[in-house]
Amino acid sequence: MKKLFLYAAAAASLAVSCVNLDEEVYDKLTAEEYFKNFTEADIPAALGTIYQDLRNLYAGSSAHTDGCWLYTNEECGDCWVTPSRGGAWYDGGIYQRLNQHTWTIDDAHVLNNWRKAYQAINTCNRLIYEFTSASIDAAAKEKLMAEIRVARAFWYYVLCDMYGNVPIVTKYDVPDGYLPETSSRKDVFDFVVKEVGECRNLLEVKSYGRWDHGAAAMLLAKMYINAEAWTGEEKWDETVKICDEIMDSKQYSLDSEYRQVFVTENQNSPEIILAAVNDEVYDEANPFVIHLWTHHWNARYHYDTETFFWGGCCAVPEFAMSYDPDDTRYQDSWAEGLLFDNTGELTGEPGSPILCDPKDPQDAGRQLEYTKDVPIYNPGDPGNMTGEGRGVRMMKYEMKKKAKNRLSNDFVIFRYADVLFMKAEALYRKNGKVADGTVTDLINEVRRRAFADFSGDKVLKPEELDDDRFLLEYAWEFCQEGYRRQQMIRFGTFVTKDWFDHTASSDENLELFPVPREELLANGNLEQNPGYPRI
Amino acid sequence: MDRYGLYRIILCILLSSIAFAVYGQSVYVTGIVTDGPGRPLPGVTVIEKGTSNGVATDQDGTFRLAVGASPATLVFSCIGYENVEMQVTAGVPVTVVLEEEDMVLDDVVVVGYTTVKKSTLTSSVASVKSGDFVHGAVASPLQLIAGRVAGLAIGTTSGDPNDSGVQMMLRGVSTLTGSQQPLVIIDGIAGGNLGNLSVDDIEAIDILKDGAAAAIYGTRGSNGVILVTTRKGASDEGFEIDYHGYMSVETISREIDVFSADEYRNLNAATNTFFTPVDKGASTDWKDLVFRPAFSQRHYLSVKSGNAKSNFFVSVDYRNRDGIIRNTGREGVNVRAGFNRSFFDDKLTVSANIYDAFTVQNTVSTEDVMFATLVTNPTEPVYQPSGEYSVFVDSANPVKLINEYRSTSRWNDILTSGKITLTPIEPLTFTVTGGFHHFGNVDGSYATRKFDLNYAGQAWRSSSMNMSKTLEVYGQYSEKWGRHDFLALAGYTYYDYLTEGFNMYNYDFPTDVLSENIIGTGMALKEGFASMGGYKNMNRLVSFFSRANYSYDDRYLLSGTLRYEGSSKFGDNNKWGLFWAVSGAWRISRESFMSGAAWLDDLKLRVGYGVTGNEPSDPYLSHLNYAFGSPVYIDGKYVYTIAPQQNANPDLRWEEKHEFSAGLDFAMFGNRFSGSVDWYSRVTDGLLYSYNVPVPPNLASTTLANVGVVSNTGVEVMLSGGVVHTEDIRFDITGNFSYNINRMKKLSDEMYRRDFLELGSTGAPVQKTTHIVREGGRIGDFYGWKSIGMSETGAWIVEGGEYGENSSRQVTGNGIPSMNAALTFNLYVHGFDLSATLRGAFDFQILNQYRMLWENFSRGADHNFPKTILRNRYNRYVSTAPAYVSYYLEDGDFVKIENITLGYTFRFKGPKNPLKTLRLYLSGQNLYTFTGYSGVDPEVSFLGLTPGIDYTGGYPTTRTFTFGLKLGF
Repeated sequence: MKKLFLYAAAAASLAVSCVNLDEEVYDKLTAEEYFKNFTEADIPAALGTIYQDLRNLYAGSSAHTDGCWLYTNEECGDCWVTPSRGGAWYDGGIYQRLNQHTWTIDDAHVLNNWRKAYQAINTCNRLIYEFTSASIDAAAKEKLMAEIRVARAFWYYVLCDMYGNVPIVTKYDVPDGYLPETSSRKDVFDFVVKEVGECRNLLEVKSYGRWDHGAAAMLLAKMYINAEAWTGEEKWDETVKICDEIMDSKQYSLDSEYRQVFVTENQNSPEIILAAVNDEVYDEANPFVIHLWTHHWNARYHYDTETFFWGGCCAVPEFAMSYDPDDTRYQDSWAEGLLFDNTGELTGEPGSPILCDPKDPQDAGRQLEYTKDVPIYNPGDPGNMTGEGRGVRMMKYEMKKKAKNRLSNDFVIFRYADVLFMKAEALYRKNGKVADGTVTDLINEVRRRAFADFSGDKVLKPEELDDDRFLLEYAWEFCQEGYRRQQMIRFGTFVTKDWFDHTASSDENLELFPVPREELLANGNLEQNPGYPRI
Repeated sequence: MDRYGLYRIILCILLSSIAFAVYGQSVYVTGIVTDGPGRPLPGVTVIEKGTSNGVATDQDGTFRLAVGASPATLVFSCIGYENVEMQVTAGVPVTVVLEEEDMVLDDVVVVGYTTVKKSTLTSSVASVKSGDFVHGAVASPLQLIAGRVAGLAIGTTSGDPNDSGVQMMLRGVSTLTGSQQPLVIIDGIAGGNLGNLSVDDIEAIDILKDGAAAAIYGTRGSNGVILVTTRKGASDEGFEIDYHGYMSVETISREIDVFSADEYRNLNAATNTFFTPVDKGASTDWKDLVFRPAFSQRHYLSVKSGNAKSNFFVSVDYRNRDGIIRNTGREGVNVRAGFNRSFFDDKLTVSANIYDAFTVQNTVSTEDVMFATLVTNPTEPVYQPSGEYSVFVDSANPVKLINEYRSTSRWNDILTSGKITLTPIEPLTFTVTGGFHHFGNVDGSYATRKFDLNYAGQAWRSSSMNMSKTLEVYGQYSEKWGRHDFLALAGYTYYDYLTEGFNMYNYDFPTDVLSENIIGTGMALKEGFASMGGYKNMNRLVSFFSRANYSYDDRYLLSGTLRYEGSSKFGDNNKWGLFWAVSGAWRISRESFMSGAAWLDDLKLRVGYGVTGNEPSDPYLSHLNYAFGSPVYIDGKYVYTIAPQQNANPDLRWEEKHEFSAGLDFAMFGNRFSGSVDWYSRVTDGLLYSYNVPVPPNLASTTLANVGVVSNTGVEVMLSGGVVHTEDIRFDITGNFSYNINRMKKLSDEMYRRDFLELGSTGAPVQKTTHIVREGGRIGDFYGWKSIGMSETGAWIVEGGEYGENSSRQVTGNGIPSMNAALTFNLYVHGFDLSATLRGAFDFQILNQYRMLWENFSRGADHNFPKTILRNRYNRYVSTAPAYVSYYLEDGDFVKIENITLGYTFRFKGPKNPLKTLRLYLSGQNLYTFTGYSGVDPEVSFLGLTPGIDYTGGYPTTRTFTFGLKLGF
């Protein structure tokens, strides 16, 4: 009998193994395995995802074609442009559409900024859900939750800025078939302010590269300064108050030199309030590659780098010419002039001039030179190209010798100079757009380090400060940092100004991007922004 | 009459002309041999059984043979006729009648777990025997049957010796993301690599075409099933040695027309000063430096021996093929062995097979080389005065590319299988089959310091292994009661697949000399820039299957199959699927009312319906997985982040194809004229695609889901005729034609929505998608701007709007031929044989990427261009930014002379002569293409969702001339 039982058991187990279709997962962690072994030691890796998402603001080797916050928000403004060059950099017109404000609901820039934001928000919701049930010390948990909620609020701030009316989702464990509905821009605004307000006192006072007191306060400042433009409701007093709070905390100060904020090893700059940390060794996915976007493909021989470049974007010529000749921020931000084969690898003789390729006959025989002017050779032609050397190139972030195809410079999201500017702007607006000495003092405090001799007409006078000048001051100080669109919208010039290939219009709907087609398809509850096609 | 008959006649005549040597026996037996109708048969081999003593019949069919003793048992044999054994007494002349073998109709066809006679098939199964294979030097066993099977499109899209570029598609595209490749079963075992089999080891290839035939293979049957039967040991006490060797030379199938240095210099004049060349002073023919005539050789030797109880087969195949791009090539050895043994009066038989292919591949980075060869200024020198490689703007130096970077892959592919068949009582058999397939490779690549001055050498290494295990157990019972024939079988299959591998990259080495062999010494490792990767995954299939065949009087035939199959790749809610088929046939020619039609040998109507599946291609897709991302800086140190990677889809399942098919087979005039017509309609639902889903609530913005529906409908015609059949000359023509129409029925459902899929890439700087998949359209539709002219400024004028506007796009063509056809001619005159295959594909377009990107003066002066740049189609040169317009979409229709082979076979007789046959042949492959297409070869990829793009960087196809020798001992 016992034998029979054994046989039966053996046969049964054989039968089971004969039809066993379980997956043995070797190179991925199943949710079950992951949570079974979860301890406090696993927190940094889990939490780290929110900082990996933060790098999506600018990162990825195709971020210029796929869309990222930095490229999108600068390219549609009046400082930065990507003209087509020698048959390249047309790419189906995606850059031109950003410049001309003719983007479509199918454009990658429109789609991927949305997706990156919601992916990050979902990460936060998921972490909140996962950490809620994790066995972590209560105080530590509270702090962790606060950090994640502020990180989430930041992405709603990005969405509020770019798309305005978007769904607010705060839960991870939603019922099956749940599809979020669009909330008004005002509701999104209030949500961000509420979330940051509730959480910011729980954060670390200062922790580099993370959401700490200063970073959260700065996020609030960004909300308040834009409140009038986004919701119609002025929050100038709140702006001044939060800026004062940051200033009074004495945690941050202006760096002695403008360029020091953006050097390769910029992590010690006292000016940085929040940065996304980059490293040429540790970064695998999503590297910081602004140098690749901008420099000419042969710039390698001039700068002695280990990487080649793609050679696309440059400064809008009107803007490049607007700098005061003595303003050192110009050469600290832009590369201009002739390029030489300093390595000798191209020509065999170090110091020889680099000639244009030329990809375009009009460049034939010309020495490669970054010039302020960017003439368009064939206006009206979809490929309206310019010369390969035209346009001064982004050099704000230092490119070290032997630089590789990813930079180690930390990407500055918030910095102290902006606190002074925002306070100045709030005071200027509160005062009916009339500047007084307090306003210009704040701006001059930042301007000072840009001039060898800061005196005379270099010092900004209250009577010189109007909207146009304010926008220029912003551009000189903060160009290439991703805030140009926001600044122009606040001052009402984003659609109404003419620059480069952009012609003025009065279509205020363009101050928001459309909800992308793919998202409308995926979620029938979404509402399209005014002025854009439903699908 | 069938085409085997030709061999038969030739062989008989040959044999009759050479008499066997006769030894000093004293007893003679005599007689005459005739065929069924009583005509004398010359050249019949007459052998005294159990000896090598023999003779051949004369022209009048008579023979006289000295035997050891009387009476003697003689064996009469002649190719094309059934053998006859007869006892003959000296002094009593005999008349021996040899009946013709009914070869066409009663070929045995492999149909999955069993075989049936071709005449009793109820579904669409194509069978190609080794005698009908394409002759000459073929790169892949698939080319053996190119143009031989209606509905199975086989194209050679590349001349790369390491990637034969041979593609297959059976009855249209029925998947979006899944595999389009048929399941390959070698001697009953799935998972083997058809490309690694030795061509001469293949005995027959059977293709299960329709759903009714393929349903027995369940979730792997949707793309059809290719069953390969390899050669086996001898069963007649013989000892045969075969040798096959050839030498061949390959050249590019058609020159790519770019400007020579002088032509380039003269472009200023040729374009009326429109274009100013940049003369760098030299004259370099880059094509000449990159391409070469490539030589190949192959030697194959096989030995088989044994008897009906115990026999074996061993073969060795050495292949060495150079590529037409310098420094590319492939060298390999295949070994195969098989043995069979039966015990207890054949109640138990055991057989085992093993093949092992070992290959070394040398490659360069083809895409870069091709691009550089085509666009580099022909007046550039190869080297600078300093001796360094010249450096160019947009392209690398082609000579540097082929000399300073190389990649070598060494791999070993083993398939072993064993089979035990037990027959306890005659009509009942049990079979156990086990198979083990293992593939392992070690690859290494190295780029020298000269390749990229940024690095002091770069090295890559990778290794991978995959293995699959198969176990099949099934029983079969067949019975015949009067006119009722019945067969039933049922069984179980277990299939398990595991793959793993790793790779590494390092640079900055102390020396170039030791290349990747010392990959650890690169300084990048110390600096943190070296990289490493690894993976491992598995999947498993389990199924239960059964088949039942019934026939009445061989007139009414019925067949049904069932397969209940589960896969680990499926989601938890859909682990198991049921696949089934029924089919029936009516052999009208066997009806009594047809008895008057003596000219009609066979007429059969077939009808079938079958359900098959197609698995998701990757494992682990249905689950929520966590994966590691890039490290981030947290609390003063870097940590790897971890996050969910994909949305779970517990409903994930197979794509399911429902196919209805009907066919008519016929043979007439003594089987001299035969053919078949097939019609099918297949609808595949649950097509897998990645759908956009909202985030949140989802984790990732896409989910893989079964949503789409696609249909394919088509007809296939196959005709074969013996045009001339005389005793000396035989001329046969075989042709086939297929037509398929594809239609995307559905792309969205309630939960997952997609208006269209825009796919494919034109490449920079155009940056447009090339294809569209949408409801109502066809897979393979090109979607872009239809150019109708060019403006004063040289901008494209497009139909219905402006270039670049999404709304003015339209379907401008389709990249999948809707029609395929082939014709094969075989001529035998005495010992000569001449065969030719023509193959064509029709009704499709090709996007000529090279023309689109480079037939354009806006690309800058310092380049080479295709000569078509001077075409001046719109009275001006194209010199605005490259654009994706229909101007670059060309009709691809073509007819190819696929192969012409001329051979002569000597046959030697006599027991003392060890050499029995000697065949010499000359063969040309891909000889000429009739087409209006302007690129190298209109045969471009027809697979995937973006078919019909002729990429600039593809390895060009080749034309091959082969001289071969076959010896039979």
